[in-house]
Amino acid sequence: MLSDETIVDSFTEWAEAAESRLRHALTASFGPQVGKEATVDALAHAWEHWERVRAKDNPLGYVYGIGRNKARRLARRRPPVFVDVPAQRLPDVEPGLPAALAGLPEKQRIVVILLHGYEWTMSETAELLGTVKTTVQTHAERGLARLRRDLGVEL
Amino acid sequence: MSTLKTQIHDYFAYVDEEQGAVAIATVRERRIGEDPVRPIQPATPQPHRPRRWLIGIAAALVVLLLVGGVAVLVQLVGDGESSPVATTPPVPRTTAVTPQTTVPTTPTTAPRTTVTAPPTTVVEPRASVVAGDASLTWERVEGVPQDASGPFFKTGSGVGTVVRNGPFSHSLWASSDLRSWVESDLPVPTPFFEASMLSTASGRWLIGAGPTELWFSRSGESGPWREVDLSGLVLTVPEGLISHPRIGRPALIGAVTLLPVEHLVSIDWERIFGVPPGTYPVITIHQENEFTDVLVVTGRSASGSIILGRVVPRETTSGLFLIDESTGDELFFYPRGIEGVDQDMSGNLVNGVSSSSLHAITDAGVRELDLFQVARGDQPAVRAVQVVEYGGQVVAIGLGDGGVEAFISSDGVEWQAHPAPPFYGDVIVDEASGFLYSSPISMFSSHWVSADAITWSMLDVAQAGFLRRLTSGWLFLPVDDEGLLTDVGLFLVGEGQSEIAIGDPTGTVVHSAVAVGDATLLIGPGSAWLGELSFQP
Repeated sequence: MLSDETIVDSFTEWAEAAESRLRHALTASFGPQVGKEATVDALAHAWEHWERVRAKDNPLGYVYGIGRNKARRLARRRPPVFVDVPAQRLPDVEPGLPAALAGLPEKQRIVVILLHGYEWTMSETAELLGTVKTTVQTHAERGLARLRRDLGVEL
Repeated sequence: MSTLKTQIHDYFAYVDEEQGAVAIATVRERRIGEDPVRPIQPATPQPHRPRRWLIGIAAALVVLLLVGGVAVLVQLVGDGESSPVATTPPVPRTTAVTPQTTVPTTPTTAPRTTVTAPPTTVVEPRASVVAGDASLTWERVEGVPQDASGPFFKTGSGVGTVVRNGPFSHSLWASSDLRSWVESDLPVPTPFFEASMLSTASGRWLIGAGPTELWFSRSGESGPWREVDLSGLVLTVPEGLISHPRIGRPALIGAVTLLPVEHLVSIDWERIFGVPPGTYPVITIHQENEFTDVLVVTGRSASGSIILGRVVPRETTSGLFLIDESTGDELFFYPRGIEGVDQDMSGNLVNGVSSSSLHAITDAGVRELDLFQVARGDQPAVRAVQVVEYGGQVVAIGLGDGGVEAFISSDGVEWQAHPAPPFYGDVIVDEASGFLYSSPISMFSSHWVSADAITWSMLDVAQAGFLRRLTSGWLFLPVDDEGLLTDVGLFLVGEGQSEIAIGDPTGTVVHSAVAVGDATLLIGPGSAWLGELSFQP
């Protein structure tokens, strides 16, 4: 039986390391607002069931799944909403980028955002999605191609 | 301008900055839903909080016992004579507590070869939303296309529908909020056009315009419209069937060299089955002696028969026969309803074939999934498979030798068996509202809905002869056999099912209905009602 302090420490250590990745993954799926709320709920769930969660082979993947379920309830089947591009970044960022991202198929969106928005590696993204790197690569290429077409950019 | 990747990176740097990190310390103190404050020591078992449905049932039992006791007492005192006092008071309408047959929510992870028919389980009465948690408020609205009979189609910004203005004229109506509707002209004034010929694909609209025209608009209401090249399309309409070209999501058609229609005459159209309506209507037919591989792009009529087809010899399929105009990566899955076109070769093998690209539908690009094991025999049974893409995954439900089986995949390559639904029937993705719906073939008056194609809920619709389905946060509004809206609907939240009072439009004849978000629009003769679903905290 672990002591209270040990449990708190182990959860805190894991959660602090996992928080950004979990939040980024859920943001990629559901947008910043729902993504963050789901992150909080998922972490809270992990804390409540920490003994079970920590025993998982892939706690982050497990909690990500919990977060997705939470997010689905929060989103209530609405498409993700990404905040507008701030004015000071407009010269460099297409104003239509948030809407174009929201319009991507979910897996393309997740992959594109994780790889290029949050600098995840192919392996990390594949592990989260429970797939292989070639599939991630395919989603990324197609997502970017669709974004380029929708935004009318070539680069 | 920066490269796209740089833009994405910069944008999410901003998002990350605005969003901020989650403070772990606050997480540990956070309440989840109605749970008590989480203890610091999570390993300490906490007593379960009584569920609301248990309280409701207990309360109902107490009421019934009291009422029953009073009735018995009155009967005894009154020497068996009926008494006004003994009249059972009206029981308040509460939530449905009928045990629901359901399937476990956790997919099995066993490989398909070891799959056995999963047992269905009867679970305890579902947690329900008590009356008052959700309510409907209605208002009559003007400016709605009164002649809209549907179907409604989801667009990028809302929904749309086609309204017939006259024998040679139709218009498109689109709305993002169900309140304001914008009318635009259709490019194809043809007497053959019917609203039912309009199909949608990933937010695109495809317009079928009679037997010789097919028009397409990617953005729906805003156009521009493009005519699809149908040169070479073999429009085969078997005798007695209604022309109803439903082009599937991926099926924009390019010009190809086609075989003459005569080659189709040997196809027994009645034997082709199992094509899910509006989803992936393609069947591959092999006939080794004449052409090594042909492809028939098909639609399915309401009666379930193939009515639109084309034949493509394999040598022409190197990137020409189908053009995926917009999505590029849509998983392309189609059931093989029949293999072989002459009687000697025909079997009833029902397999899935998938490809990650329309351009890869060649021998090299197609993968036989062989999901559903069906033994070939002298008297093979009729088999069918339903395939729906939903929520980023593909679900195949079919009849194999083991009964109803179901498989799920996120990429079309790796498949996992998961518990089959406790029914078999058409599984439909409702395009306007985006949920899965099924009316089983063989089960009387049972309707099933699912949010994830894994857990299915049977709707308790015994109070209505016919259910006209809607969703607005999982709201179902029944109408009776005459189209009159009944006074009680069903509302699903989570796994709960509850009755909900409909209110104002009760008794209104409903011709069509559509939902966007929490708003539901009912269109009847000369009137339209807009309902808002609201939730009490």
